[in-house]
Amino acid sequence: MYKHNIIPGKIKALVSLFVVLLLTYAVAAQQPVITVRGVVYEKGTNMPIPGVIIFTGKPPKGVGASGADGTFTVNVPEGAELNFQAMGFGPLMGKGKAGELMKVYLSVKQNKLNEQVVIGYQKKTKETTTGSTVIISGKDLQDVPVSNVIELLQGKVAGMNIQNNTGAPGYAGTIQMRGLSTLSISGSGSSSFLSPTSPLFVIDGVPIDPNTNYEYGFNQAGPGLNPLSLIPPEDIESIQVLKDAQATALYGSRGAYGVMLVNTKRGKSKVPIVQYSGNFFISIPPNLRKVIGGNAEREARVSQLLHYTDSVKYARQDINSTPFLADSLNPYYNNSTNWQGLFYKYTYNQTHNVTVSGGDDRFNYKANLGYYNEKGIVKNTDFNRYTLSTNMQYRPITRFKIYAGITTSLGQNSKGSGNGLTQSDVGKAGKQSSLLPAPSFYSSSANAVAALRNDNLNKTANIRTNVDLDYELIAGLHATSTFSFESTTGTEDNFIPAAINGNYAQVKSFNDQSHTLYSRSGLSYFKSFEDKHNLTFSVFNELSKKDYQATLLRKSGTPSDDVHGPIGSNGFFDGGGILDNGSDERLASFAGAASYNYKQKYVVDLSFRRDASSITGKKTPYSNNPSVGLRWNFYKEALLADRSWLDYGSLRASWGRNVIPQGTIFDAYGTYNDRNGGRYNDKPMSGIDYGKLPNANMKPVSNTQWNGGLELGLWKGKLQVEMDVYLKKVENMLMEVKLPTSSGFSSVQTNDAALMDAGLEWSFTYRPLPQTGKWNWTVTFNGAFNKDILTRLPNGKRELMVYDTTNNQNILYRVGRNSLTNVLMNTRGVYADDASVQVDPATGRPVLVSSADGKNFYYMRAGDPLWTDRNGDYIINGADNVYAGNSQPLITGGLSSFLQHGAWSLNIAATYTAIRSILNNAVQARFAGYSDPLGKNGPGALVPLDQYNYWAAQGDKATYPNPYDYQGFKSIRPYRVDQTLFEEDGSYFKIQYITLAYTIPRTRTIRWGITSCRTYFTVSNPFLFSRYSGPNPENVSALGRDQEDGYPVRKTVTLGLNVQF
Amino acid sequence: MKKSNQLIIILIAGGMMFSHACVKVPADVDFISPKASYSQTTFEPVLGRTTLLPDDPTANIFNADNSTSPLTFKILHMRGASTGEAVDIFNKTFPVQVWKEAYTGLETTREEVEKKRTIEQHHLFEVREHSGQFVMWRPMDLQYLNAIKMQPDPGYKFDVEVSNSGGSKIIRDMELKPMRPQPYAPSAIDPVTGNSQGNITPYLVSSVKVYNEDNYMSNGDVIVVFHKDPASTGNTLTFEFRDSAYNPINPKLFNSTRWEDILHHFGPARFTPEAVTYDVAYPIPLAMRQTRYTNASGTTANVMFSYDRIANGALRMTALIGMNFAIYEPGDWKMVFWFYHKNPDFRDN
Repeated sequence: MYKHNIIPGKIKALVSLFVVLLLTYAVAAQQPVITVRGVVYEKGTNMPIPGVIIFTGKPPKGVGASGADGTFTVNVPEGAELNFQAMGFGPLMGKGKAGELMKVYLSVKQNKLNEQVVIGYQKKTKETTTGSTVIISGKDLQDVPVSNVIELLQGKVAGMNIQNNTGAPGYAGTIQMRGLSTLSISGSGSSSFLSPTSPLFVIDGVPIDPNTNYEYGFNQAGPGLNPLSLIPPEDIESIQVLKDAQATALYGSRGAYGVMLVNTKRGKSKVPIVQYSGNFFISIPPNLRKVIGGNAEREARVSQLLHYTDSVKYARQDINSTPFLADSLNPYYNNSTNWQGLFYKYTYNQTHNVTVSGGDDRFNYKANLGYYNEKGIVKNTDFNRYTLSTNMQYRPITRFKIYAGITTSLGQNSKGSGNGLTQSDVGKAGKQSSLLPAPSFYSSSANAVAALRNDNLNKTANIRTNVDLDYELIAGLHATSTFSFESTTGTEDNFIPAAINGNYAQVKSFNDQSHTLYSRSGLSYFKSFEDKHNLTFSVFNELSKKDYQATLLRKSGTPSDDVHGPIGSNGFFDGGGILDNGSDERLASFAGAASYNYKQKYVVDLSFRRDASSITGKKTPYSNNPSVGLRWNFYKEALLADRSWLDYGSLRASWGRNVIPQGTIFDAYGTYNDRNGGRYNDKPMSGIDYGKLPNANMKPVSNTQWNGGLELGLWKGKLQVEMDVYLKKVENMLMEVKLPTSSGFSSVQTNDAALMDAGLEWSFTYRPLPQTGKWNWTVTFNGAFNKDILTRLPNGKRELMVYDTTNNQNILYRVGRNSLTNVLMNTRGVYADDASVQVDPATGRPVLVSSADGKNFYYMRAGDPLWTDRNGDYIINGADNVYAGNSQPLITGGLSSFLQHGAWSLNIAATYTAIRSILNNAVQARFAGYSDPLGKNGPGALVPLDQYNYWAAQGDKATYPNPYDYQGFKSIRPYRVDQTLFEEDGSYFKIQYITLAYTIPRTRTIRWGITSCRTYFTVSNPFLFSRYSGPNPENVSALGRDQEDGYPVRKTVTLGLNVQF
Repeated sequence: MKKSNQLIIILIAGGMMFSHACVKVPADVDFISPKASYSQTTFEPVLGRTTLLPDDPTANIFNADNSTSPLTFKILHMRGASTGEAVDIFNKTFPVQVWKEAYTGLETTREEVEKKRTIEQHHLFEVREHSGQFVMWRPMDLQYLNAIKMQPDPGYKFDVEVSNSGGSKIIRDMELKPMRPQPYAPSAIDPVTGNSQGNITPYLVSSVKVYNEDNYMSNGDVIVVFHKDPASTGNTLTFEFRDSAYNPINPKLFNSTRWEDILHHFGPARFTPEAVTYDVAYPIPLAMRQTRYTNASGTTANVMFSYDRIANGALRMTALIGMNFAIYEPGDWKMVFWFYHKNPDFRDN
């Protein structure tokens, strides 16, 4: 039967319970009747299952059902076989004995086709969906305390590439669904980043776009919290991931990067349930880099100067005129300070969460109260979350249903002096020379003061309310309406003490507000003809309005460090006002969908959605999002119907398009200014800004996907396979094109870039042990291979370079190859001796290296890097760059194992990323520490180089050039970052977490009124296997740059408790 | 079991076909700009020297206009500029001396220098395959150069094909107008006509007091004469100083000259009352790189002769004569510094 009903399965089971209970009165006792007591548990989690219906006899008659705590008491004839049945669980038979507590373990039904999914706001079984979707149970997300649930989704869904590349509490890593979807790069150097393309999150039916606001926390004021950090993982019932365009097309423009449906928990037990879960966890900073401390550092510097200066006399003179080296008994220079230790620390954190829920199909409710506290491993950073969410559903008559939810959350975080994702002050102060004194009232490092004494407090308050109505007008015809309002306010208060701000303390106050008003109303109709032809039609319209505005106030020169106000003494030092990043967007859409299936064997889905957005060009206001999907459940064919090894098997194919608005309204309409207040004929002037030509034809990005899928279940749940191949074309991407000066404008945003992703996703679930045994073991292995290819650039160009002005690590867009290519000098080793240095055969001079500005040239010698002279002119310069690696990973995925025996369970989750290039700027910085033995640019830390194979003497075959030749750092620049020497393979295999859980037997806890009590011990991020020589191959930017001032990823050790009353 | 395997194979094959049918991947080929071109199209190398065009590392004569590097360059259709007929000599290869190891200026014997050089076969005029630089080679036997037309002849025209995987482009009518050989530099011989004009003078003549006059010499008061016996086969360079009567001046009179450091030579300087002779390796300078013996760009050798005398007021005065020069042919060369109309005063006041 086509399951179009909106009632969750377990609630439906409860309804049946009453029917059953009524029936039990009618059972006539003929044989001796015994009373059987027992508890029904879920196999695996050992949690009691409420609402399990117990049948007996032939034909089966219901005799009872389990209560909220899983207990049951039934009166049955002696020796009668009991049959336990519950939605979502496999049935189980068993004989009960009087006077004995019977323990029943039901296993979750291992048929993925029976899972309930939501596509385009419509509930379906997976059997009738034509798109590619994956469901993750909330149970998989409970055992590791995290500030953002995204961290735990890593490696759980094939094709969803999550890199937890920041350890900053409250921030999130990057999510890419099915490969690259953007070419937009901002910033330069190590902090250049790729525009985030996170999937759309639909939380209880209300879309929330995580791509706005928070990513700009990079270089801008504001709390910068990821909106998903405000959702407690304990409140999540399930997360459904929609991957292909058929599944996402009905979400329109915002679904182009995939959709994640987050469902929070609801009441489903007649008897109210109180659940508590709490964690106590310790965050452990990663191993800090080793540095040379104290006198050893001074000696290393002196020795370097004596050996690598042109003349010893000159070196002596240099040393003697540098008090930092010569004046070794001066207390200011006679230290061995552990600078890194000042900033990184172990922290002790906790979370608490209480859920009260209950109710039945007529009326149910839930309230969730959560507290999360995490102090960052970098001092002066933390994240606290306070949440209260409630929802309730009321169904006064069977045809009418109303659901309402209110979620309030408050996130409080401190970024220290950094911007959340990076901590440049910690980065700078942490690599200072150990000879300098540790900060006290006076500090030798302004950065250290900034990192430790900067007073930063951010609050993000979020209120989300929504109301759903559903009325069945006639049988099969539903009218539904959803209305939601969301408001987020972010404030940042920042105080910089006078000591680090030119003797003027500075107060900064930021606040922003965003509001989203959203409404969706629609009709859906279901009709089945002779139980063979099943038809569904639905139409809905969607309206949304979103605005954002931020203001900032900055005031220098408060009375003192201790008195931060009153503010407003002298306007000269003040700054502030409304920031120029305000937005006001409207979106109106209309969508329709039709679905037909024949006996649930052949399924056809069609859908269409038309969006009108206020930020697209004047001439192209509408975007259309069509989709087609087909499915063939071939296991229902007569040929295969009697194959016992085949549980299920189906083939899917789909095509669809998502269109996503891009750019800003100013790209489409231009900006106008007042010509600097100029006047003409005493009238104020105004005119268009010549910087950017408006593009009235600006089109939204179009994201077209083809998808083919195979789903197989074999040998009674032993092996389940899901495979998908896809081709995703991203077209009309925005790219700035420079215009000739004769046009009058300097540049225009065009729509002429395109790329495509082709990939294969796999997901295997294997249960090697028989289901009836005491041991229960499940292994899952999933992954995706994704290759992206750039297919088009503006003006028919074949190549385009994005120049990096800071590090010279340019990125190439080139048609026909992977979209983002690193462009670097090709390092093939080190010149072992002078004789091996390349020579120009015509002139006899050794190969030359050009200075950064191309005006000076230096001769190469032994110990210098062997860079490929690609054009054969015996001059190493920008023309010799090679197209090197790809910053985007080729293969990503996860591996997990769940082993259970009785009350004990062991859960191990791992994730892997393979074939990806990382630019190891962090290791480069270690060598670069030797560039300045005199400490002229502020003495830096020296890192022991024993583990690196560097050149030291004539004839050495080394990997790294001579690090001690400090004069060469200025001319040859052997340790420049833009070379393949620092491009490394960033493949890694990471154990995400290991959880050992024990469920305390109910008999011991019941006297306290506790129906279920589970304790667990979790270690997160314990091991990472990689050949990468830097600190952590995951802790790098989306463009594969290892920032040395990035926020390191912590390890945690957790002790947790789940209690249910 | 078997059937399931077959089924899986069919499904995978179907999936691959499905994806193949839709995927149209553009070719991963280079970009070549139609505007890519040389900014210098006429080349006037002096014959008898190995010349890199351009020899200045900062100069770039090919504007690739963002074409993907490396490009491949090829000289096509070398022809006489006036006749338009193909010229055979540029299609042949000749033995030339090339460097295989870098010259450092620290070599102590001629053998050490010769070990760094070797003989290879090259065309006389070549384009470097990927950089687009041109090289005019000096053949070991200079007789071969006789077949080459020198200015004032209009010389030769040629085309250059530039290509990469994105396509190719031909740059037409580039000009090669060789100049007549000049075995040494600076030279008083006009490179086009072969006429002699003017004198060669040192770049620096400073504090050289004129004998019996209260005046000092300037650059024009010293003439430098280069001389080689055409039959000589040695590798020496001799400096001579002559007064206005062309009588030799003892080089030891230049008493503050750092004789062992003025020139890259092998073995000690050999003094006679008339001259000082060095064992050297040709050409001078050996390579185009800056050493202690060259000027800043490494294109010429730099010699400095000096002497001290006590001038008026009991001050010590250092007289300097500095000369930048290059010699391209081996042999027993002689450089004469001729104080041709006034004599220098070596006496103390």
